[in-house]
Amino acid sequence: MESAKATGEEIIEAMLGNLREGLEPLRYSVVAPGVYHVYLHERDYGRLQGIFPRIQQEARQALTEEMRLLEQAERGKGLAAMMQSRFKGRLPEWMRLAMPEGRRRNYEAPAEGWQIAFHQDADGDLQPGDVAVHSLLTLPPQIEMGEGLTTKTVRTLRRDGALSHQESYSTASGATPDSFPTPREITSMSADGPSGREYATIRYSDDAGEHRYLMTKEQVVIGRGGEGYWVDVELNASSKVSREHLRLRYDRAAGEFYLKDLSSFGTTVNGETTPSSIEEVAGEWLDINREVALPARARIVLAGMVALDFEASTRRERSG
Amino acid sequence: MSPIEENHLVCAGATDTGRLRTNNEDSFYLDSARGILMVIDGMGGRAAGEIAAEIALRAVRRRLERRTGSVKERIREAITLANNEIYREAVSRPERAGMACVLTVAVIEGGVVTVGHVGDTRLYQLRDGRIEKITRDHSPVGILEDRGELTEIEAMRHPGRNEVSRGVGVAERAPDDDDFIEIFERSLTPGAALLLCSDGLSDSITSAQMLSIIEQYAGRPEEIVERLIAAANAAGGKDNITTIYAANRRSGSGDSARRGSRIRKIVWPLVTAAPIVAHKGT
Repeated sequence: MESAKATGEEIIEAMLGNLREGLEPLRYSVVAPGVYHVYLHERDYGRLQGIFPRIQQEARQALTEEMRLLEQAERGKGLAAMMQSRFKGRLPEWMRLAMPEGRRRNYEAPAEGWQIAFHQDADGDLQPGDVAVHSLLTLPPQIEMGEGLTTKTVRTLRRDGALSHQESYSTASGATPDSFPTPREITSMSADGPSGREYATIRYSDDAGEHRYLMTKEQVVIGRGGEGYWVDVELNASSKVSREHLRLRYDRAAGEFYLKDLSSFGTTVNGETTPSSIEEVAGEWLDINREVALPARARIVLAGMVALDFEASTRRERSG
Repeated sequence: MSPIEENHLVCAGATDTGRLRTNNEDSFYLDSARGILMVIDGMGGRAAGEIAAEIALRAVRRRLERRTGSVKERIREAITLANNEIYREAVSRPERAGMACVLTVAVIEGGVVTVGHVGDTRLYQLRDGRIEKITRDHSPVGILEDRGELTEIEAMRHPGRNEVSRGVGVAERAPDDDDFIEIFERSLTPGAALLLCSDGLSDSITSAQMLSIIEQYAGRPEEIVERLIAAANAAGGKDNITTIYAANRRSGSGDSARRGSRIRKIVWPLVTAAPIVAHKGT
């Protein structure tokens, strides 16, 4: 029997199930979890990786839509109930609008937007085709005051077409996480903001093989990394490649990319050497913030050792 | 002109176990030459909070001392590196499970202070005889206080006061996760000063009390931090207390003769050494 495969649609379905399970009714509003961690079997993860941005985008749309539908459903119900019990349906429209609203609550999408991250199941709990969604809702403090905090986690598992849910509250008196307390490997997607941008693609091969990195944030650091070094693209390469070799930046206002070389052995862009941004100032090596504009397609070579093929996305948006 | 030469900070920092706790999970770091100020409050059972604070201090310091990228990027990366290191330690060793910390770091360069903040440690700015809290607490009670729904004193006495909604080391993070590090800049005018503290101070004395102590001992940073800690201990000393005071020296004042001397004074009132011991009753 062929093993099951998870699809983008099933992922979104699991997320919507999780959303409904995770709704927290308050007096005047109903709030929903804003953070969703999606876990997939390694095979599904590998297969779907390329369309994660697309799934995120559609999932956000679906979540927003679901909230609107739920609100409409409640509104319909509330209105019908109110008209039947109190006014026998004879209330003029203007008067109805002026009446107190009873239990008509707003279904509020999270203020920070829907945050979605994809992870590969590291524990071997998931089978191929399974979708696990862990969502997080930090409950508004005015409700929970005095009852301790306040982060609700809903775990949804979609297996063989059926959804099951588990709910837990973290009320530890120490740190209470805003995000899911036990994430595994987090992909570059986790840094993605609510709008699901994808600025550029970087293809390269290093000592560990061929890679494709989607630039989903405005700043990326590229280098070998190491203790004390944050890198977004970690290269397995000769030590001639610096730990923090270069920085790429997408300037929203200009709609342009910029590269800053911070390395010892230099960088070339389409064959031309990039000036270094490191200079000695008053006895200390400083980053003097010297950048070069990067064309929409560029071959970036680091210390003559590793080549990155950079390609700007055509659908990146410019901000006015 | 190196940014280093532009800092004329007169500062001091101190940490104290307080009167009830047996260990100190707070920590601080002060580098007036680079303009780095940081207060950390560790959390976790047994000694884990101290370890989390120690990892954070080392990781943040290591990244901030390498001056690549903008100040904001440096701070974001520094806190993220600390976060991920703590988190990995916490998940790989059962006795350190759940350890984390909260912290506020300020980097002063060229008359601008850039602040990175996670949790409920605080940064206040002192200017023109006024004290203003410029970080927002990432805690349910702090949010209510910032919204004006609780007064400062109500918030200080609130039973949920010690709960925080963000921490360093709670989950794997990336520098620009938007629900993680709060980061902002403020201009630091000559004559203005900054006060960083752990909640051991801000839960014990009001900002008005802080201001009055600072004004009383104006120009003497070591005295200021010692008196602030003494006041918190006098108010009960229920938690570890840490504070840093840093004044941007007024240009053209008498202090300017000492410009560039990079005065660096760190006070560590340890249980056995400092005058504050008087409050401990031992």
